[in-house]
Amino acid sequence: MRRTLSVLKIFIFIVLALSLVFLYLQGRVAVVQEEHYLLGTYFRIKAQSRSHDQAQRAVHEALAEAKRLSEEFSRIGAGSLGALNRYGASESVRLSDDVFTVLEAAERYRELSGGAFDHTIGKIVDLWGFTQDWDRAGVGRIPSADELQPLVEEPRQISLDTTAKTARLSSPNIEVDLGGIAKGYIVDRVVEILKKHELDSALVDAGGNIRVFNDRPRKVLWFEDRRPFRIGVQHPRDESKILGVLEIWGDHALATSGDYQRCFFADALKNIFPCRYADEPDKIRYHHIIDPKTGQPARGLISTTILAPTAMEADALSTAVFVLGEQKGLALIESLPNVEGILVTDNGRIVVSSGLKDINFPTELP
Amino acid sequence: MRELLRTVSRYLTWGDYLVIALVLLGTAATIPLLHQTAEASGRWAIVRLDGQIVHQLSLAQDYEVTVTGPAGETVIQVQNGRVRVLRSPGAQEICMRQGWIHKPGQVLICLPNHVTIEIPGDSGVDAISR
Repeated sequence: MRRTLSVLKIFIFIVLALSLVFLYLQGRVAVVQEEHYLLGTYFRIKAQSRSHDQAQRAVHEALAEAKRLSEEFSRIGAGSLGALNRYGASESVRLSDDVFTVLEAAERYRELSGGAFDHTIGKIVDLWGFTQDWDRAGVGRIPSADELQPLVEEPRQISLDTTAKTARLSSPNIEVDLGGIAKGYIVDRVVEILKKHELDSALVDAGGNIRVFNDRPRKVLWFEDRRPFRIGVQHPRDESKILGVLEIWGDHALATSGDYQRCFFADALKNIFPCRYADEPDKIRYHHIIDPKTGQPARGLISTTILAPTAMEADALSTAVFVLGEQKGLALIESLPNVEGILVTDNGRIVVSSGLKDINFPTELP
Repeated sequence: MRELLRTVSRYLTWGDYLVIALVLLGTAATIPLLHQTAEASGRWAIVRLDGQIVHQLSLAQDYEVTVTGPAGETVIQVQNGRVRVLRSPGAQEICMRQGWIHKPGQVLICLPNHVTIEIPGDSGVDAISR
């Protein structure tokens, strides 16, 4: 009796010890995080997998693709978009598959938003000094009505040939700038690559333009360690604060457009002061989200955050909704499936779309 | 309950008690260890240039470090367990005006010079949509 008991005890101890080791191995995940400077901003990938090598390979491949794409979408560079901007008014220009896809999508969003999203106003944006290398130049200017008027009134049409993958611009005054949508597209392509490698979960953050997926929750025995990604939404008037946190399950993208991202201030004498989050007393803020109908910075909203299935959609819609303003912007959000938004108005109200009524956000800027 | 304890204790020898005690002690010993590594992560700052780690700064001493990026020199100051950017090229001077950081998860970003300074640790959010 005593003998069988001690054998049983030893057996139980071994089983206990083995299950502890098993639990430990099950719960272990490799996290690989890499950050690069791309598209004029930081580009961060954080990938989780059961295998470190697998995560590393996935992140490397994804970053290489992001680098390649970021060169394709330079509007002045050697890629096909640069060529379109240089010769597109006089001849049809053959575009790369990626540029064509995004240009087609941009045309769709222009139509969908009634012209609030407009990728053809590169020349107007340039007049304000918000050039591609803004972070280095960093000084804006206020263009005169005489400078703006002809560019604003000019009809800006792009004819696309889907079979030949060519595009032609209706006027030399068009400068195609896919900056408001290409970043999202690149994030989506990166996510595609990460998913191909069957990672458990990943976060891609291109300067605040974010997409996450949580395909396979970590499993410890029968427990699923289901943890959402927690994404903060930037406070538009205080750099060190966030408005609140969104808990994201599954596969979603987020993008924010704000008047604090690229801006400058001007006083009554038109002296220019550098951009910052907080308002400057007695000075007017001029920012980079230009209303294509007026050629002036869009007024009414100071920040729009869009939650959408893809980063490209979130990217384009955050700009479109910012320009449309509270009423029309919300209506656009509500008309689209699986799209939600958080808008901050210039008098400090925080408005959320119907699908986000349950989130714990303040109703006014704290 | 008392009955159960008495039944169990009848089948356990002093050796079993020893093993149980050792396991409990071992588990207890790892708890402060885990705690310590979490604490220690807040006493470092990671400086990246173009995403590559160029410095791991201990926040235990006071000193200055210069990083040379594509736009010029970024001067980083460590003092009293905090980090800030003293000088960095760029018209907006955003990373200088952010001031001191000291909490895990805080980040200074000097975009024009491709320099980021991060105090590693859990800030409670995975990313910020900005």
